[in-house]
Amino acid sequence: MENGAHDPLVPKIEVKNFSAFYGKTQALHNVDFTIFERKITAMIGPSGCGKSTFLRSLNRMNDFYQGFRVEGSATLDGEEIYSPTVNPVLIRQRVGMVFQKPNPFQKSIFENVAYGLRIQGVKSRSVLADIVEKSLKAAALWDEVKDRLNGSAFSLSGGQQQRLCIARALAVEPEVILLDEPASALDPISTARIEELMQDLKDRYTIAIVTHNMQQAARVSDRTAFFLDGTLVEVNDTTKIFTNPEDSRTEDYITGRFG
Amino acid sequence: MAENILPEKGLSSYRKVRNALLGSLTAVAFILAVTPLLAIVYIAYDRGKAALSLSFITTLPGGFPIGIEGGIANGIVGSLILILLASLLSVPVGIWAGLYLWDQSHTRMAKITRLLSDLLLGVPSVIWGVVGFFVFSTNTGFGFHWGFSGLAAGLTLGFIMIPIVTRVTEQALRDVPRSYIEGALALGASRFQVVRGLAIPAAITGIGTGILLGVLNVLGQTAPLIFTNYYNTGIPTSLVGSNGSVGDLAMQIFIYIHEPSKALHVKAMAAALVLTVIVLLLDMGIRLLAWGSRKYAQRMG
Amino acid sequence: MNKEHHGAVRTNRTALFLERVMGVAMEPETRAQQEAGQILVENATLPLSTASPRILSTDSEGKSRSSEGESLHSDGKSVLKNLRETSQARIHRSERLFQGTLRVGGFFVLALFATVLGVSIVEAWPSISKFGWSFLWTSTWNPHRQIFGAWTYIVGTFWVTGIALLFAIPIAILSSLFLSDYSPKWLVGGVSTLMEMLAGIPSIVFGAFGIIFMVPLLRDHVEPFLANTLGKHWDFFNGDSMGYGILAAGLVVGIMVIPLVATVTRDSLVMVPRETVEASYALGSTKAEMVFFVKLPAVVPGIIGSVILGFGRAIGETMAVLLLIGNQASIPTSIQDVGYTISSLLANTFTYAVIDPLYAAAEIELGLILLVISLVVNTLGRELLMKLMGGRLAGSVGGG
Repeated sequence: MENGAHDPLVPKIEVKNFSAFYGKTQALHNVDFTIFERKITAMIGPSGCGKSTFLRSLNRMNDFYQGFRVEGSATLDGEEIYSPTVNPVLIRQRVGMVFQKPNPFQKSIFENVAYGLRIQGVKSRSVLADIVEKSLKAAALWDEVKDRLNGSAFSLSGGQQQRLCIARALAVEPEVILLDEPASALDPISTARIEELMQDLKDRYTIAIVTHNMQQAARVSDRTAFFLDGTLVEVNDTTKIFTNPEDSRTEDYITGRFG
Repeated sequence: MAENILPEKGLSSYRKVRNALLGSLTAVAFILAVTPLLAIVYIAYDRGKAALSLSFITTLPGGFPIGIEGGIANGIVGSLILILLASLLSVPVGIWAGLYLWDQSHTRMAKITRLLSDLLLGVPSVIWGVVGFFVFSTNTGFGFHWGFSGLAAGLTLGFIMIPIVTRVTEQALRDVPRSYIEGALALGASRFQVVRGLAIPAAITGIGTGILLGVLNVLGQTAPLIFTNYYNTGIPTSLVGSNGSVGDLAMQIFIYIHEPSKALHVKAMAAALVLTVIVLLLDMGIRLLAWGSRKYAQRMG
Repeated sequence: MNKEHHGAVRTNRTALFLERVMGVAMEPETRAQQEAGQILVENATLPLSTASPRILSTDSEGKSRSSEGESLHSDGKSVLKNLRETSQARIHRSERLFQGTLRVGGFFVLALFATVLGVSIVEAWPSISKFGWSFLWTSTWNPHRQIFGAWTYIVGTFWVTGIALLFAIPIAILSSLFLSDYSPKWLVGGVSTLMEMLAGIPSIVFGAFGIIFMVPLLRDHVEPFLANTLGKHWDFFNGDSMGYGILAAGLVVGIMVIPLVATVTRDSLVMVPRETVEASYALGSTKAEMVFFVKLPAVVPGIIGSVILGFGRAIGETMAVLLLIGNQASIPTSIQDVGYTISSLLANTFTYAVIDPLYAAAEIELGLILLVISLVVNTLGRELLMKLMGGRLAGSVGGG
């Protein structure tokens, strides 16, 4: 399965025989999947297929749901994500996340980006200022907000807010960034900017994106995984998936026969 | 065809009359519901206005029977002391418990705690009086043996406030959007950091509303004071022991209205007006706060 | 970089190095930072790797981000990584501590409930064990002979509660219909708010109002009228027309309960789907037919819930009743009779009773009966309304 790449593929997150449950409902069935370092991996599939559950499992954001549990193995750099000795807080520091709807804090633009650093104990104003600037630049937002860093984050447009959330995630320097339909609430221009941004970021970060927009998956990702009813149907090179899928269900989905 | 089956088109006069009558009935009921409530405020004003003046709220009662001269300064000071004591107990405990219910909401223990907290909301005030008496006031058996005192009464009122503050704190925290909390968690914040830095600040108006709601609920409480404090015509010098009783507006009204003295009844109605105005102003403040926090919540999306 | 920063990373070898460099190059702050950052990054791999197996695992691939020197924020990243390694155990423990600490808050509530129930049961025990179940239905209450029975007070309590609800429920329901369907729109918000606010007036004020206004009104007009009309046929309406008694207490408690029942009923009326209303109109209903035959039946569960809550509020009411009921231990046979309720008896006599253990225990057992009824009734009302409205219900406190 892991063919077709030009760079050497280095596994970042490896998931083996992974199942997830909400109470008695099984949301994921025995998923085997590898996310490679510094690649963009897209997850597509119809609503309720488990792609978001899978994504949120990777940084233990599902821990807060009642009765959520997992079986099987998921490792980050070989370290078991769900090991009882692992502190989920540290996992989330290494695996950042950007959500479907922009969710800035009720703070200034500056404090939004600085939040993750402050909670980790960085107090120096100059260090913070430096990182905030770099993060905002990396999220292609700096030029738009540099004159009003102390203004409320809610004064920004939806697309700007989402880039602010990306900057906020970048500021804590995660190794992996999970994007959960980051553009679904945005207009096409903002979406295009987010997609550009992902291309810029991929040199430095491992990115996993859930999207229900197949064009988006095709445009931005190196590898694409297709989920259906809680199972991973197929994962492969994006070009391969979209031109010559191995599974007929994948073909049905991308040609618009269902979903 | 329809004409053949239905005897007449349009409304029968019976239906017309019934329509008008039932409609008027609701209007009459509405007037019956609102009038007594307004009458209470008006009568308190009308029957008490003879005693109303600035000195009424700044002087202590005097004369014989006591209260026939002077004002209600003892009651106002005492009520403030009681509310302060009640808040000192209930605000930290209530917020603490509210945080617990919010943070660990799905655990069985939290469910039991929430149920019992809600049950405490329904405990009649006279029962609180009995409980306060045995926990704080009585001089025999277990308990603090503080006698009839401000501290005993204040903490008993604090007991009454705890479930209110708990419930409203939990609700205010629940109203903080989940995405907001998740945003912080995804940055690797610990739950302590999320609570201290984001959840509490975002819920602070709601929590403040809850505290004021609790104060509002204990402000006019009289029954618990009969069991734990009774009354003081002066400014207390101590909050425990035999000299520890404090004055209280509600108790003052109770004692004055119980006396067969028209002059004291006037004082009672004036005091009732003062208490009513304080309660209504506080209520208005709460509504403004709640309105403000809704606006705030809307801005946060 | 400031002191805290140093403090946080001091334990690390790299950090010591950083500190030394910083000490030398402190003068122009920004330059020092940059230098420090660069130095740190260039030297990061080795010293950090000894301190951190996690970073090693990626670095061993020879693909360390830091060594490429294009990291997003060179110095900041190192700061964070250092903090992460040294703080792993600490975060863990503090998280656990945090949860445990919160649990203590919940424990306070449990303890408070246990205190309320425990005090009531323990202090009532002498009476419970001496009189058993017969306490509930015997009506002798004689401290001198040490014989106590609750019946008189239970009956008195239900009389007052019954009169209050009979008076309040029709008015409350009809006025909530007025507000939901008949009143001009501009009136609704203001009046509803006003009603809710007036419901917050302390019960002692209601009681004082009762003495000043309601008692003379009943004594001089209502009760003589009742005696001369209905009273001629039924003794139930006849009496001494004193003004004080179960009627005065019941009516004033009724006035107090109206806003609660009206508010909760209105909340459920609002939730009747628009489609239901439109369907009724589309079939040719008059407005009253829609309101009374379609809307009202649709909210019966909500009304039951509101009545249960009103019952819970009325039954525990103390001060207004204490001032108005006449406080005489007799079972009322007429609506003009005086009586006694559980709560008014306790408020009136508990401080005398307390010197006599069995007397006190009997009063507390009465209180326990009231407590149990209140808890059951409030739970029922809440559960019912919660199911109907999906959760949110403002706290209402029983009595005053």
